[in-house]
Amino acid sequence: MAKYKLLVVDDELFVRELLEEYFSKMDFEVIVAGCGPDALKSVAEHQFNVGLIDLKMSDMDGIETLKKIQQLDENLILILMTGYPTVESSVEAMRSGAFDYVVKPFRLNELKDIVLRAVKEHRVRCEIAEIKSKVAAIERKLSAIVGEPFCESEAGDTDTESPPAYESDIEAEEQLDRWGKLLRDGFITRQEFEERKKRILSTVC
Amino acid sequence: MKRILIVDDELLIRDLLYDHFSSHDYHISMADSGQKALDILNSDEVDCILTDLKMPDMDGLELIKKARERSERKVPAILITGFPSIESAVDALRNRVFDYIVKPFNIKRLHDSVEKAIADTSGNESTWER
Repeated sequence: MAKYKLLVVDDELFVRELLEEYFSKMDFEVIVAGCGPDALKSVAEHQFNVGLIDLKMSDMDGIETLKKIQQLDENLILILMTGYPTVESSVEAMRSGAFDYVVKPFRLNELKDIVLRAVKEHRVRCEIAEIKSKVAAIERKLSAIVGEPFCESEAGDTDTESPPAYESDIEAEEQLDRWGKLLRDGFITRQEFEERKKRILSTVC
Repeated sequence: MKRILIVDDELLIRDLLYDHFSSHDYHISMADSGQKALDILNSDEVDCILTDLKMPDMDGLELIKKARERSERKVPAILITGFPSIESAVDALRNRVFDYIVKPFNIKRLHDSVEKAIADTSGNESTWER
């Protein structure tokens, strides 16, 4: 079973077939689209790691396709390819969030290196997104316990004791539960709780 | 008043940019080399760095990287060059340069980019982690 999923968007059949054949021989499942709208449908149906998008396409150009794909999947790493390279379009592509800008004709082994770097970048982005999501879940739970939204910046930083390392976010969550109860029952002050919360959250990652 | 550091080894460009931005209520610092720019950044805070890419002592991208190493502030930077290439543009943008502008430039285009760079960075401190 393929380890990674690659989206290839190009209006030239030859390019789609070439890239599909080349990357399918590696650890990639390749799905091809001949235009921007078809690419959007594919992104809605599949979880891709990397997308290769041709810049110059008739109905929806590569930059527009890239921006619309980013709205559907912000973690997907997108690389733009073009046979009509210009400094202006390279700046626009990179400013729009492209991971790289590849000029056709390209060497397949060089493109492979870029795609593999993109796979690593995708992994990092997904890990960051997961951590953010966990922290947000803990924050929500904490807010429910003390009955008001938290403000991270209110937390003090006067305690120099090293924070304990929690084995998992569940353990950290239990700790936060306990300190939240102590706050609610009046055993600790709000400031003490904020300090404790900040230290616990700093160990979750 | 927003502060801009202009770095270019060409006097003509420095004068042009000084005249334009000082007449639009910006405070301007100027340097004719990367090292002098770093000396200015050691003592002064700026809101945007506008630098030439190709300079004799250090190129503009190297200056931007060194400036970032020395400061925790996320100062946006814009590269200007008379010797554009796709490779250097992609390299610059990959290194979180806010914009890459080719000489001869349209001053309005440059002005808009400076304003956007300052607005985006002050509104979003994670600009470098794009």
